[in-house]
Amino acid sequence: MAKGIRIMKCERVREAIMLEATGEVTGAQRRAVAEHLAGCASCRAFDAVEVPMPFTSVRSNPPLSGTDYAGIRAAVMSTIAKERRIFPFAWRFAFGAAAAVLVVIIALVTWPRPHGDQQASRAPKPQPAIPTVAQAPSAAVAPKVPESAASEKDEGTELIHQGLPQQRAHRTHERPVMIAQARLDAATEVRMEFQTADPEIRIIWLSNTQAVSAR
Amino acid sequence: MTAEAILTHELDTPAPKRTQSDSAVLAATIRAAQSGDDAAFEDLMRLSERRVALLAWRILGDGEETKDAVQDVFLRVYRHLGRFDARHEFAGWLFRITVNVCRDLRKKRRKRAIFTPIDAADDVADAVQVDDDLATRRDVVLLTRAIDALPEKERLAVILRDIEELSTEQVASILGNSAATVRVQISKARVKLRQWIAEWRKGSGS
Repeated sequence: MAKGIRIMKCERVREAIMLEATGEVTGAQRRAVAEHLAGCASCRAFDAVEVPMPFTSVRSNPPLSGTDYAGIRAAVMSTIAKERRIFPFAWRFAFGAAAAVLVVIIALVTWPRPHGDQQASRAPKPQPAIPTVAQAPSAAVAPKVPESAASEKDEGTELIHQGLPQQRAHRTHERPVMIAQARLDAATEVRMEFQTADPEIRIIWLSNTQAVSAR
Repeated sequence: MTAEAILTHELDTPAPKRTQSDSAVLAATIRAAQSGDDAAFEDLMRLSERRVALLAWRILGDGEETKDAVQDVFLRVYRHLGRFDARHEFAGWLFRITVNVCRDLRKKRRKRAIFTPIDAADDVADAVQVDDDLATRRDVVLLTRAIDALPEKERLAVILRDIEELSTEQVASILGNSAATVRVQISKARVKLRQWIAEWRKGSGS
């Protein structure tokens, strides 16, 4: 145990000796080192080893000529010029890529997906009745509104447009068709319904605008 | 003072002792380079390339790797110069980039032997400039090899502190450590170096 402490102490003392070379020890540390050295031959031997410090002579001259430096500068400037030729248009590439991704997403959402049974039989099936109703968000059940009610007003709800989804829905490879559009609650809320060619997919879009005071 | 010495001066001279004009010339060159002036960027390279090369050479110890390192350093400087804050020391920022580039290169090309017997290292001696302050040519070769054999963190700390003669605080800033950590690394490294040198001298009978 005592030997362990002593070894530990020697290590710390030697580190302090090495820091002394650059004046990084305190007066108290210096005194402690001197006391230790007086009673430790091993550390005295360590202290006696001459090491030239600082080591500025180590690799003091890189083996590079003026031609090498000129070559490096030319290579750097050439790479910079290449990067500059490419990067001014980078934002255009980024914009184009983003637009392409958006188009793909829209196409995936809206493109009609033929059902397995439809493909197998090729027989026309009766289209499910699609309620073409503008409804308030709070309405639990969508009331059926006749087509003639396209311009009717119903307690704050104004039906602006109502299409004929049954006629359009059976078509394939077609863009979504707006089947109903309505203003709700004093013209601050708008609801739109789109029917895709797939009768099972309908897009409902709700927007709510809020008046902002001029102040 | 020549333009080339300005950067060295920035590192070696404490901030209060630097003249206003030295700092102003460097700051003006950096500002012009930041605004996209290629000629100013080339001037900046001329100002700092030898300092960068010296540090890279000391870390890498290989001429070809040093050239690659200097080129990589200036490409990184160009790409990130816009982010450099003029309130900080340019030399410190440049040294941090250099150390990072050299670390990356060393990781990529782990080809250097951990330890080479001193007699086998004689071919390296030609690349080592011997200073009058050193006792013998072999001492420098021995020291170079011993430094190369140190663990990476201790090696970088010793190179920056004892070879580049930067302050402990500057070394800490470049390596991203605390000054206390750097002090411990340096003291441990110096102990190892002294022990190796003592053992070698004992072994060689000198």
